[in-house]
Amino acid sequence: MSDRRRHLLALLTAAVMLFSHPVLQLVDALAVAGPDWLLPAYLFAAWAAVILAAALAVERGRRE
Amino acid sequence: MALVGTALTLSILYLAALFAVASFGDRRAGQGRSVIANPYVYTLSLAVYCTAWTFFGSVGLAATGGLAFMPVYLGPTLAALLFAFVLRKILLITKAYGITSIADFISARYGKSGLLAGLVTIVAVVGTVPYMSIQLNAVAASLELMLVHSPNAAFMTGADSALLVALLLAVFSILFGTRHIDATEHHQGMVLAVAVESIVKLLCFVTLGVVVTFWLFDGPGAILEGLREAGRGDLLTLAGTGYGNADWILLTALSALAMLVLPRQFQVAVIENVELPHVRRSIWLFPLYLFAINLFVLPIALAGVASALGGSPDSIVVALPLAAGHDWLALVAYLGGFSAATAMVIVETVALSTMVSNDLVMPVLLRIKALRLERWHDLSRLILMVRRVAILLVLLLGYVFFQLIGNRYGLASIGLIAFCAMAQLAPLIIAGIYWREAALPGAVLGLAAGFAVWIYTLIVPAMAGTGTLSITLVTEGPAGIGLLRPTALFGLSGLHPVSHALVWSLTANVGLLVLVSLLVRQNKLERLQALLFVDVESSRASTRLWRGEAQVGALLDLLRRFLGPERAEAVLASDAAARGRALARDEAADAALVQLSERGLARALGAASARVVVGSVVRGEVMGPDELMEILDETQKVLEYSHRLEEKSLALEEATGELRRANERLQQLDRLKDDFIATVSHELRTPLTSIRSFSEILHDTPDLEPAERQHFLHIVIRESERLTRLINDVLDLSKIESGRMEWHVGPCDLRDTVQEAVAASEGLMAEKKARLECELEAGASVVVCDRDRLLQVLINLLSNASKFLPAEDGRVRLIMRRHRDRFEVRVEDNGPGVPPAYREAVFEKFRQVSDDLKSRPKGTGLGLPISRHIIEHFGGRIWVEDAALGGAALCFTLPVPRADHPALAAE
Repeated sequence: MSDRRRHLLALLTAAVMLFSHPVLQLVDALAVAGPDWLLPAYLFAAWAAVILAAALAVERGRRE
Repeated sequence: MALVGTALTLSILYLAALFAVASFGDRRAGQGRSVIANPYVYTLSLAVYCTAWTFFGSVGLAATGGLAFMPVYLGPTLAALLFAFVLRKILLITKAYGITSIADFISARYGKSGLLAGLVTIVAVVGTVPYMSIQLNAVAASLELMLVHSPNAAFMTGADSALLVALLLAVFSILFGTRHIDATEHHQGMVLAVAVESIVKLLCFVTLGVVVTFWLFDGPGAILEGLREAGRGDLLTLAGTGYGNADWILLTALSALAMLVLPRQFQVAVIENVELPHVRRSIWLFPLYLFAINLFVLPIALAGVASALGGSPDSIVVALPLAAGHDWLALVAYLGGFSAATAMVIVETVALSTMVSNDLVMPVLLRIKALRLERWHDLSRLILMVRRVAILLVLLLGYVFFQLIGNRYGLASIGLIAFCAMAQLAPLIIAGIYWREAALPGAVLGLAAGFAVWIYTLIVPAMAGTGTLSITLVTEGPAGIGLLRPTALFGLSGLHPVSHALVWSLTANVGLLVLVSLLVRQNKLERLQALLFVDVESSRASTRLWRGEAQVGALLDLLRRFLGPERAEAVLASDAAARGRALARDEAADAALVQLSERGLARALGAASARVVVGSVVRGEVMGPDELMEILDETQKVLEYSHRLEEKSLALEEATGELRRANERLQQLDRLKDDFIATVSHELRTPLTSIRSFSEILHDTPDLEPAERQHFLHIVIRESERLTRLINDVLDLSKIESGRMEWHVGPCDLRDTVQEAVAASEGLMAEKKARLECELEAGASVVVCDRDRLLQVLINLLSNASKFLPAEDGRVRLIMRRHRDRFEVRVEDNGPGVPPAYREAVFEKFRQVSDDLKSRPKGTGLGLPISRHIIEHFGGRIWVEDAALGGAALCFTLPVPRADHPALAAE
């Protein structure tokens, strides 16, 4: 399997964990003590991070 | 003009502009200058995923369930990360076998089954109807909302806006999507139009989001403040979604599957794909689009909640600007939603109409002999007509669904219901491309069961909700059996209705697919197709499926009837180009042309029907699957044989390389041997010449002075000794190398031997005016070896050191010390030293380090090679390194013998 494919699979695993219900519950619980917009902010930040990582994995693979 | 009139005018102008864009795209494609052949247009076409549901429904869902809309977009983001695996493989298969739709894909995998193709088409049409109703609902609701704000719009009063929208979209889709009958030919104009629509809907939504967030409100903080005042802070939490623990995961997975199996997604991602590499960049560009279009969903929805607009939450995007008095912004929102809806409807109807005509209607029509279709000279018009009627019917079905059920549910709820229906195709596709044993009966039963469960768990409750069916069916179960309640089947409760339906429908689907596939045997054609699909990367070679004969004329007539004259000629022209000449009508068509014709027909009729139709003109028979499997087996054997040959060829190449290297080494050794012989000859000749010369003088001159005679005799003796030493060295080396050396092995005191060697070398050192120092560690120093040979080594090393000493103040130091398991002896000097590059070369036989250094050698150059042989024979090691005195250090080790060594015991 190429490095790009391995990186994408690893990213998929990480993304599934980031968006899994237990992790979201944890963030939701933190929002009780912190700002009430924490959960939406987390979701969009994690989403952006996954896209950025995917772009790096794909484009770096292209150059190689 | 009234606002609603402006919206309608805008809609028509927008459709006209889209038509112009599509025509431009088609024209450019006709000129061979495709405008869609790049990853950006490909990604924008994938964004057809975002329909009116995204535009209106996501905001509506967010207004009632906060973050509940997110799984629908996180799912495709996760799915995109698998594009490089799943989508790539589907594309390879599609391009290799001329697939025209998702139904064609599934049917081709399971033995080109017409039954399965028809079933998939029914599932796709029924599953898409609710989705179609969303589009009509959303656009109609927006128009009606604007009608309320248009007091002068008498012309619309009493009009059924949903029907109006359905007819408008049907006319546009028919004009747009059924201009060609070749379903595999890329609809370049359509794809370009969809890409433009993706840009339009994104711009409209972002514009709306920015204006609402930063103009109507003073930024996100003000919206949040309004939300708190409205007492709806729960919309920012997980609890606000109304989803249970499993719902979030299940709905995300459902959306990921939808990305793969929705007919319109299959159409743009697979059928319309121009180049395989475009997939790669869409892996991150498509999620980026989803991210961008969803960025303002929550702010707009929360702004709607904070504004307490009332009415349907799905109408917030239009209602919010209207309430603020910004009619222009309402038109922007309407245009974005209309754009999203039209893109979806166009692609979906093109995909569905192809499936309906190829996999449902035409196979049936071809079997009805009373129609006498065989007498029709041109069936292409019939095919186009079927597709156009299919488009109209699908949209009208969507309208009926909207009237019966759709307008009682939110857009998002209906969208998820549609997703769940289409998800039933996913197991067939995934198993089809990764599991060879997946069999047709399992696929048919699994799909039928999954679809039936979907109807029972989602459609039945929806119909009961509208009063079409008895509500007790849902509340008490059929015949009062509580375990069979459609919304809590077998007691499973606490899930979102769609999650509940997904769990049971996929359980039935996958369970039957796997179970039946394991129990039944595939027929030969299924086995063949399974092999071609699962191993697509290794079996893409074209397979000749036909045997027997057909006349070119008969094939041409067949192609003309189904494809029309132009496309039929094009098929023959491509055959002529491939074989280098055109075949005449009365010539026999070979397997290649029959295969090409079948593919051409498959584009219009689908794989299953094309096979039947071609079979009608080929004399003889279709090559049986048995024979085909035999051919494949043969091919496999040939490939394996070829692979083995390749391996042997590689091995031969390696052996040749080794032989070449060995030969070079031999040539080098030969050169060294010649050099050595030359050196030895020279060394022999020098003393021999001296001995002869001085012997002749002594013989011819009897009256020599006694002192002079004595001097000459001394020279003769010295040269004789030198000669003896040289011959001894050569003999020693020869004996060692041939294994004939006699070793007198026994215990030997290393310190004594060293001291003896030092004593023997004192004269030599005195001659060189060099100082010889010894540092010998105290303690036992017994080794097991041949004492005389060890002495030879030590004298050799001391002699070697003396040869390179400086003329003045030469120093040689001999050190002996013991390590844990070995003794080490070092002979250091303060000569010029040996550069690192030559430190191994000095031990090579037939090689004198001085060949490479500037000074001439002193001696035969065999001392060190002989020393290495002796030391290594006794388990030691010898090497050169830098000396503390500044010159070279010749070092060797010998092992400390174990107490039970036989040589010690004998002693």
